[in-house]
Amino acid sequence: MSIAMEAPPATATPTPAVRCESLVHVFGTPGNEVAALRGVDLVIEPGEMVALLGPSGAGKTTLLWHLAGLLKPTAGTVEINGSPLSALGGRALTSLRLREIGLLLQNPASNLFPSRTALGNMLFAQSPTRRTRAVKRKRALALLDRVGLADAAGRVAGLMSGGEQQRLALAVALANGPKLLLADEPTSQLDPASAADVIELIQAANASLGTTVVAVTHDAEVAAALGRTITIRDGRVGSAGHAGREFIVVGKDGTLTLPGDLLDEFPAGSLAEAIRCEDGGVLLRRVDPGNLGPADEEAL
Amino acid sequence: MSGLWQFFLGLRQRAGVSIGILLVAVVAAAAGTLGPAYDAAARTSILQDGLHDQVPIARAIEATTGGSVIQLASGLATAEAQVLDPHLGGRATASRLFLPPVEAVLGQVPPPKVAEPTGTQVHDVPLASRTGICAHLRLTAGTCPAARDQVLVSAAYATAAHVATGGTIDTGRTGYGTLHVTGEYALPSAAELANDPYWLGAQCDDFSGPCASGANDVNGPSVKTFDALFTPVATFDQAPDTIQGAATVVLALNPDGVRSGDLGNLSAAVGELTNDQTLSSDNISVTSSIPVLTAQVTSDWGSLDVPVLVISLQLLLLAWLLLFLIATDAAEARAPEVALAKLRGYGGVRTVAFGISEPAILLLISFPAGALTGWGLTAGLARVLLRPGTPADLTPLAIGAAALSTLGGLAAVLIAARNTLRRPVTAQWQRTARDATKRGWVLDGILLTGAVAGLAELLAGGNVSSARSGSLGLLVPGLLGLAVAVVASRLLPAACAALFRRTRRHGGTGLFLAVRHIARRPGGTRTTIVLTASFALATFAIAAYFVQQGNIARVAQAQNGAAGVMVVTAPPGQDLATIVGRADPSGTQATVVDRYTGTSDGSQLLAVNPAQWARIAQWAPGFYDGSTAGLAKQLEPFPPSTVVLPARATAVRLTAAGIRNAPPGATATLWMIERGSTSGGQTSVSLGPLRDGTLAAQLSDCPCDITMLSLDSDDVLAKTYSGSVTLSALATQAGSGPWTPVTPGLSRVTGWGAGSEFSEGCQSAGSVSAPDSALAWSWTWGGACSPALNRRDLPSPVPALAATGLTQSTGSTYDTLGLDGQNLATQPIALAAAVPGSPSSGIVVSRAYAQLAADYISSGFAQEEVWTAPGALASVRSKLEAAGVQVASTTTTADIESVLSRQGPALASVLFLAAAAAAALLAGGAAVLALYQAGRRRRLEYAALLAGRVPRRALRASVLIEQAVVLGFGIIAGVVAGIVAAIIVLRNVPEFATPPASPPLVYNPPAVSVAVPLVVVIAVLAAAAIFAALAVIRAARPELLRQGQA
Repeated sequence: MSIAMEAPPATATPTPAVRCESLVHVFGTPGNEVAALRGVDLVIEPGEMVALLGPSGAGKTTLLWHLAGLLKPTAGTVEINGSPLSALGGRALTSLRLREIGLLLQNPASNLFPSRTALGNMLFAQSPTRRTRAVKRKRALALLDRVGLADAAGRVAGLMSGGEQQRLALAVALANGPKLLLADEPTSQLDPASAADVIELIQAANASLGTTVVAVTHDAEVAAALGRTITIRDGRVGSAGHAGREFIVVGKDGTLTLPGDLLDEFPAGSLAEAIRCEDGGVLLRRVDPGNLGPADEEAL
Repeated sequence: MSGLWQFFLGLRQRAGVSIGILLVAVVAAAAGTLGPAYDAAARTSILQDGLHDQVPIARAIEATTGGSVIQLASGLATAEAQVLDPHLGGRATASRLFLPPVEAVLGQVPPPKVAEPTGTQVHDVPLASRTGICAHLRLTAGTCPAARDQVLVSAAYATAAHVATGGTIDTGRTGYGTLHVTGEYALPSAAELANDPYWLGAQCDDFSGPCASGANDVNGPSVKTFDALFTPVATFDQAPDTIQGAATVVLALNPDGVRSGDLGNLSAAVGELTNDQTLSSDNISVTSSIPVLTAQVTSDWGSLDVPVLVISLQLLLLAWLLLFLIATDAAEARAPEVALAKLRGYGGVRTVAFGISEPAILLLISFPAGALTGWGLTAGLARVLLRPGTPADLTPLAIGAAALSTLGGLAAVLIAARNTLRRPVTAQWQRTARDATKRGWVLDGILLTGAVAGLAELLAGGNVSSARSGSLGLLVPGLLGLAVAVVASRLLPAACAALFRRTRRHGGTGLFLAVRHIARRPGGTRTTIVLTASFALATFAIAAYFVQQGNIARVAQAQNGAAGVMVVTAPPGQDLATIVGRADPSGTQATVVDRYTGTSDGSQLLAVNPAQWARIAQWAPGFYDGSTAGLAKQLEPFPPSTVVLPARATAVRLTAAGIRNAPPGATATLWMIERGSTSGGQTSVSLGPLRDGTLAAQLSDCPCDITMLSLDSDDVLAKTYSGSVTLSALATQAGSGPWTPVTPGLSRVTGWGAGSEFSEGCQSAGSVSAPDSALAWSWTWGGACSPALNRRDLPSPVPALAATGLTQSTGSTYDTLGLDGQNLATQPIALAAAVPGSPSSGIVVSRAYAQLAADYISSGFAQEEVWTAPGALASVRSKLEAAGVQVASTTTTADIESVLSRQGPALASVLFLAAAAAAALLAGGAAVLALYQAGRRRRLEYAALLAGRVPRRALRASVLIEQAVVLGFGIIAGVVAGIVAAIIVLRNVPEFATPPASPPLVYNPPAVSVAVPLVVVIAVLAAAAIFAALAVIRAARPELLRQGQA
């Protein structure tokens, strides 16, 4: 078994919407640590829609919380629209979150004040801003209209269906016109029709407002709809997908995380050989220890 | 959609905790209000009790002076006001505090020319003016005098002076000229004279009788006095300026006009007045007991203030603790919203404001609601407990205390919400809530250390388990309860954790789940703390209340003596016992008691009919250990043996024979007690010179008990005469009727003894025998020691029941004063820890013996009382009044209980009971609510278990067991702590404003009385717990798992 690998050409890029460098996050107490992120390097350009994929416990949600400025990195940096989050104080971070970040959580009910009406939730989301009440109300009604809840403005959120709640949650997340929309499993608890509605609304927000979208998902349809995918494995960016193609991402230390479908070919502990090809590519070839020649054994 | 509406929607969503917070906050504010408001109302009640229940003299200022009668009283009043008003803050305040002054001027006019027995001292007749006299006297004839020289006379004077309306009285040399009688008046009743401040001083100055000058002379009723002639003050003002007289101005406090805040000024002003040098130099004397009264009231206030403060603080602290408990649950319930608010860009201050907005607004609502509730409770308590008509005001202090309690509540809410507000958003979403599951030892350590240190301080300060009494002992139940609560709250989860392995194999799923939930739920420990502390307080308060009520009943029974006691005056010439005997022939409903109080050692002689008294007096356990029926027999071992000259007898005679060796000029005198005289008393009639033959004398006012036959000489004998005489044939005559022999008279020697007329300095020498139905009496007579033949109709010394407060010995003679104010030797044959009617200073003797032992009996010395059995007072009183008996006052045991119940300590005890009961109910309710909330938070867990085919009944059993264990453990720990506190400290907690010397108080809490209210509270809580448990399980449905709602 062998895999051909090719380095992409270097190009100049504008200020990214998201930049993570060597992001490390360790949970727990001394002696009982769990490394959730082990050095994530990630760049997301403005207006991109990115799906964060990966198995449970890989660190997707932790990465999302870092992007929302809710966690402090153990090591590494996170920049949102060019602002390094670790350099921001609490008030500045709050302000950044208010102005530039919208967050959509997995459980529809978690995004909302269940006792408030749809309009009340919309207004609450805007309450820290300096808009007049009339402006807030106008924006709220416009957004509710956009997510198909124009008639539900006076309904209590806790009494809405799951799909309605998630659409309302999306409207709330977009209430202050964020440049970055972070969504954690936005469709996981929705029926297919509601899920499709939510995906469509996210796409529409991206198209009309230029909002950068980063969504954690297990849903292939969501991933496909968002275009770019980043797969997190064991706390690292394992691979990236673009336009239907899946790429392995090389870590700063040169590490590669193989796609899951190759693990049968390269089981844990197997030996592989990287062979530079004449066309500039690199060939990864599995080596059977039983067939090693003297030179191989000496090299080992 | 307004923000307010959104707010109310939030409250509705968290209705349970919202109502809980509101209720507890209202109770906290009410507790803050109740203490000061109740204290103020109770102070007013104590003050009013102090003013109303005092005899008029105790709440009056009496200024007297003498001199020319012209303008004498008005000048005195002016001088008095000039000193008093500035210290009271002006005339207006003085007018509010005092009733209109009663100005009296007293002069004298000659007595009417009436024949009186030889030797009788006849006094001048008082001529008096008294402000508004005609409004206070009942005229039996004529009109009120309106001009100078006009007078009202009493009926007795009119009869004695043979003068009628329209007649005149010549005042002779006194200078008042001729007085014109415009009418006659009836004497005020004894009750009016005793209770109406208008008559202060009048009983002795203006009316004849026992109190009149000279009437109390122990030498006997040889004084004749007359009732006053009342005249307008113009009679004095227009009299010649050479006429001297006396003036009195009486200023009596108006009880309804005195307020609590007046007391300091009042006491100071009266003090200034009584010590004013200018008045003294003007020959004005001012006396008043008002400073004593104010000191007593102030002392009683002191006995109220400290307990109320201690009780209010404990209740307030408990309410704050409860608020903390519920607010913690509320904060947890709101934690997702707080996290969302942070996510939505809320900064620190806005997040705090958002996080505590609901409890804060509820607290704001609770402030006026609690203040009004506290006010209402105060009004309710005042209506039930305090003196009728006592106002319950919402004082500024009460409002301030309510505000303080609300602020304390806000602090509790902030502390409770601190974890939630500081918790990172991600921690909230991770649902780890590690900080919520941890419970620091630091707070427990602080609480426990504080409680133990407080207890140690109280112990070291002598407030616990010492003879010292102090209200700080009321802190013990709270501190002990807190200490036990902290330990118990740690024990319960540990005990449940220890049961993990056992419940895995035994006891079923319900017990298995319940044990784990208790062991792992941090809220359970808070619940235990609050429950234990509040039930410790409640148990102690209940025990303290019932112990105090029991002691109040004991003291009231001992002080009053019987269910009803009337102070009475029998009609002239009639024996009260005879009248009472007619009113109650059975002798079981009423009995007569003569009380003599004039002893120097403070003892009180109660002269009783022993058998009746033993039945009617109130005997509580511990008063007297023996049989009261046996006691009655011991007090009067034999009926008094008297030689009685019958009623209507007008003459007495006896025969003397065989006189030998009598001094020249010797006379014989017969001494007797006149039962039929106006004032009773011993009198003597002269039988004339001692000679062989019949000796006779005139009589009046019989029946009469012969007490002595004496021989007298006008001179002190220069030598000693040893002589003898034989006496016989004692007989009486009524009018001109036949002579009737008196039986046994002089025919038997029993009861007669030879001795001396005077006890001091004379040796009894002589003998008596009775040969041939006659008394053979021989004597030795020398100096001034006249021989006498004494009747000995009673044991000597007189058997008595004595209070242990007077003597601890039954072996020796106890000398006290008899009904005549003279020495009476008694022999205590039994001791009582409390003597009914005079608990610590009573000495009870047979009334018959006491009367015989008295030379002279006067109502001026002894107070005549009629004691009645329960329920008999009204009927006996009406019968007595119908028989002409004047009832001066009536006191029932219930009256005394009522007064004692309105003293500071008792009022504080009721406040403690009400507050602690409310706290226990509230704590129980909060505990049930907390358990319910915890159960609701486990709905998904229960739903998963249901989906996993765990039977619903097992889940129901789990919740019920959890509720039962947490509630039961907390309650039991609290009840035990409360009982222990009661046993330790109750005897140190004041129960009376002035601790009674007797009867001995009982401090054992009555088990049933304490248990019943606790059982009721526990039953209510159990019902609520069952209801909550069922509701929790009913709400748990497997469908919740699909909805993903927690």
